[in-house]
Amino acid sequence: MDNQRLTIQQIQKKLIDKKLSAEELFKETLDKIKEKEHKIRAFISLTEEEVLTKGRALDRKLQKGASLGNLEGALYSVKDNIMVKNLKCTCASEMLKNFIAPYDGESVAEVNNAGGISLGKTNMDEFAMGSTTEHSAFKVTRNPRDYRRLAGGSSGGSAAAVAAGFGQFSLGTDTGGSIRQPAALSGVLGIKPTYGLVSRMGLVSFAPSMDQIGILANNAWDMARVLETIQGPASSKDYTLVRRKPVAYHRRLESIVEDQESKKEKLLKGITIGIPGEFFEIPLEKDVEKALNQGMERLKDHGAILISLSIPHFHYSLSAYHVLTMVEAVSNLARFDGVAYGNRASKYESIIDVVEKSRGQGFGDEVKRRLILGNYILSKEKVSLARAKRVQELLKRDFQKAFQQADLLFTPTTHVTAFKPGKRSNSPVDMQLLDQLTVPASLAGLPAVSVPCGNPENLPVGGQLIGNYFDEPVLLRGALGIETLSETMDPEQIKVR
Amino acid sequence: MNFQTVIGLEIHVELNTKTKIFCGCKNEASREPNENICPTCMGYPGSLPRLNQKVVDYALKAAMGLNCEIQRSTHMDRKHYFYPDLPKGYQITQAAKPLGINGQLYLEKAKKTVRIQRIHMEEDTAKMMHRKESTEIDYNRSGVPLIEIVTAPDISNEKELLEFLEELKNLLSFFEISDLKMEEGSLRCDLNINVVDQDRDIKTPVMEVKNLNSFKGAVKACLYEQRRLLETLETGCELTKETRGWDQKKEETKTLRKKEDSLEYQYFIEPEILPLQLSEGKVRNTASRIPELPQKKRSRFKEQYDLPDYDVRILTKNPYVADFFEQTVLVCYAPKRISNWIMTQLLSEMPRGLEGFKELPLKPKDFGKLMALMEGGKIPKKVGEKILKEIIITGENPKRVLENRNLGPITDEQEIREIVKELINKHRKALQDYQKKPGKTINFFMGKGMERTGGRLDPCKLREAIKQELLLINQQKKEE
Repeated sequence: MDNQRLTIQQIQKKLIDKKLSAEELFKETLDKIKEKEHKIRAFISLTEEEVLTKGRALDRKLQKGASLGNLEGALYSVKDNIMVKNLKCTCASEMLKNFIAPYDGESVAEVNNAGGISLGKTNMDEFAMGSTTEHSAFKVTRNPRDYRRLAGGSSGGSAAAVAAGFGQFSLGTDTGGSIRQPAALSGVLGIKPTYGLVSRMGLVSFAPSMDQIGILANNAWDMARVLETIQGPASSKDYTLVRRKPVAYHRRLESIVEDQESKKEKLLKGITIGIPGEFFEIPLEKDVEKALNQGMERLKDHGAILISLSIPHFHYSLSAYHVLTMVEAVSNLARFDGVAYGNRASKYESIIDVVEKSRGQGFGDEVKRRLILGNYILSKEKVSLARAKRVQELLKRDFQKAFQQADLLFTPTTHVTAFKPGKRSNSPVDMQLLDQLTVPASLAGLPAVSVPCGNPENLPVGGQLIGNYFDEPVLLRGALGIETLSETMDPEQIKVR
Repeated sequence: MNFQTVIGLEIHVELNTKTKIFCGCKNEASREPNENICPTCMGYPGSLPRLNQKVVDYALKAAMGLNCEIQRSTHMDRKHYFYPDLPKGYQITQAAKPLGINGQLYLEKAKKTVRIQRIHMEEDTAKMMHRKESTEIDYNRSGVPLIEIVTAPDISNEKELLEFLEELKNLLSFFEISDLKMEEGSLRCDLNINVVDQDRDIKTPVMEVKNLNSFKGAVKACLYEQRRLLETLETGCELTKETRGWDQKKEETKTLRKKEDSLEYQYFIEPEILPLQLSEGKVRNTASRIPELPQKKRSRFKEQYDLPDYDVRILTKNPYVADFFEQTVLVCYAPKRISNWIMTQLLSEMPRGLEGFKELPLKPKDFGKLMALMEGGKIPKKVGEKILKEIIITGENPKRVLENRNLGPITDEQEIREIVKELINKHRKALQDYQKKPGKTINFFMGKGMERTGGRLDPCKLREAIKQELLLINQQKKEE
């Protein structure tokens, strides 16, 4: 079996049993990057030089028989809107092309403390605005399952990196679906935790009331392990975090499965999964529909009870989401004025000129489009803002009602499979529709995960599970239930239509 | 013309918390620019604000001191505009729900209540320093906590303006939440002024006057602007709303910005700071710790110590002088003498004026002992002043100084005789007048004697000694 498809736990076991050296393992990954990155273009910055050195240090540590940290042996990447000290943090924008992060984001620091080793920073839509990673100022990321297609977005680089086997996991960000949607299109798992579970310190804000750092990974086990590591550190400087006792997500999964290979039929015993009808009113591609049905079968096989229920305000959520996030974006991107850092126009006559030119040159079209609309709403359409807030409240209520009947909700992540460049990015509405199934959970601040389901020989399809607040343990159980076994997910084995 | 001036104020008070409002940076003046900075107060991407709870405590005290209603559930807002000194492109402030509303401050002299519309918390901006070729930005001030106090347009003239400012400063000084120095910018005041012609029922637009850096400046700017507005009312000149700056040197205001292109701030709730819930307990606790405030203190001082208004005003200017006075009185019950000494002898030795009572080495207990020495007639005023000059710096016990420095009274008659003889020998000329004006000569030597010994001679004994000595000399002369 390909070493790159092992779970972190399996890697650690092999390392401890001396069946594999870290240097060897890391070398395999670097070779894979060398071979494929020029086609996939997942990274904005690569830090491969340090990886082998760190691998050798890990091997020496293993020789001494030292115990391993939670993420030791794992390689990971970070979306380029999260600070990694001394690395560029560009947000895929000309505005921050040369901006060097002066500190580590809290989630990055936690992963590093647990022994994770960084491969670099991944490509994205500029300032996380977009759903295809075509709005990067630097490059377009391709889908490792089919290089002619896109990986989705905005965390497209992270999804592609994980799907291509460039490391075990990636830290992405999700405001309206930016982790779940590319995960679905690229055939990996992607979780957006409950708003307030993972610190946003070090994340360049787009819409802070919904921005959330999450994880893209190849399996639910690794996801649990990383979530365990990055959940709100006690010393966090993010004071919007909900302070709670840390949860051992990985052990919780273990205690249910006991043995990862057997007894899976009991995995979801006693779990009720709601199927919200409104999510299925969206016209779904045939493959998506088929895969979802297979996903539901799988859930039932594991002992879950499926019921249908309703999220009545679902259809308002996309409009509400865009109003709220565009308004917040206006505010959060105001700091990029060319004064203290970031792009400053080379020629200017006055301070207003500095700001106008620096922003005019620094921001790309999608960002500008949202800033203009956001400003319009703030100055002329405050009614829309109030209505959007109202929708948000109503949606929260809908979900609370749903969670009185069900433990989890199951929906498609996207209505389409991976598509080719230009197909959707030319029309903002077409692009926005890519988020229509993921924004409801974002508006409500609920945790949600996208898991590959269906036939792995076709283009990937994601099924979305939405959980109640801080109910990540059950969400991960559901993810494990749907998860197609990782070894069959190797892109090399996928035949493209 | 029958006209009325209408003035409202916006006052910014820098709070003296240890750290800034949204980060752990020190809140203090630094020697170098950009010493106390971090990603948060620099507005770096990825940084997050954290509301300093001390700022809430301080703002709450001020709001309660000004009789405001406290809004228990409130939040911070973002106020958007572009300016180089505003690193995030917005200021975190309170717009929709200020911490305190509907307060008031009574002016005793004007016999008038000025309504306080609101008190809220916000962050200060960075400071711009304009050089010849460039503008430099010092972020030390960025994120310094402020409270803004907004009054209703209840002030009608420069006298009321001055009284309001003095009264407000006096009141706030009792909470010890700010240095309150207008020259240094820790107390800032913007004037909103217009003039109404009551006969013709027309009024000028409101002018906002900024850059007032002293109470005197505020009064002058008020008079200047009032005159300017009146003239335009008379000439019928058209005016628009303006923001104007006070030029201290030229003593005039000039246009900073016409309000037509006034900014749209696009306020909305700060999503990075959780809404604020003030518990009943916290509000009650703060209320119970509010000190006795100046107006109440003044009427008590007047009654309890039977002091004139003038003394009372000065003794209640700040909590330090008030406490100093009261503690001294506990040691030596002589309120008027103590009041006089504080206002004259003590203050003349204090370069920082009344502010200096905050960190005075001299403790009221020792000052009280000194007062008691004089009250008991043990030492004359001159000696008291001499001792004071020493103990105000050293904080020593006045009795010990008195013993150690030979400052005690000279009562030995033989010793006094010797001193008088010496003086007479020195000033023989003064004897010429003795026949014609003996009193004058005696007084002359009295003065010289006191001068020589620093007031330590017993005046009765001295007078006796001089008389006798002069008589002796006179007799000798006659015999000759």
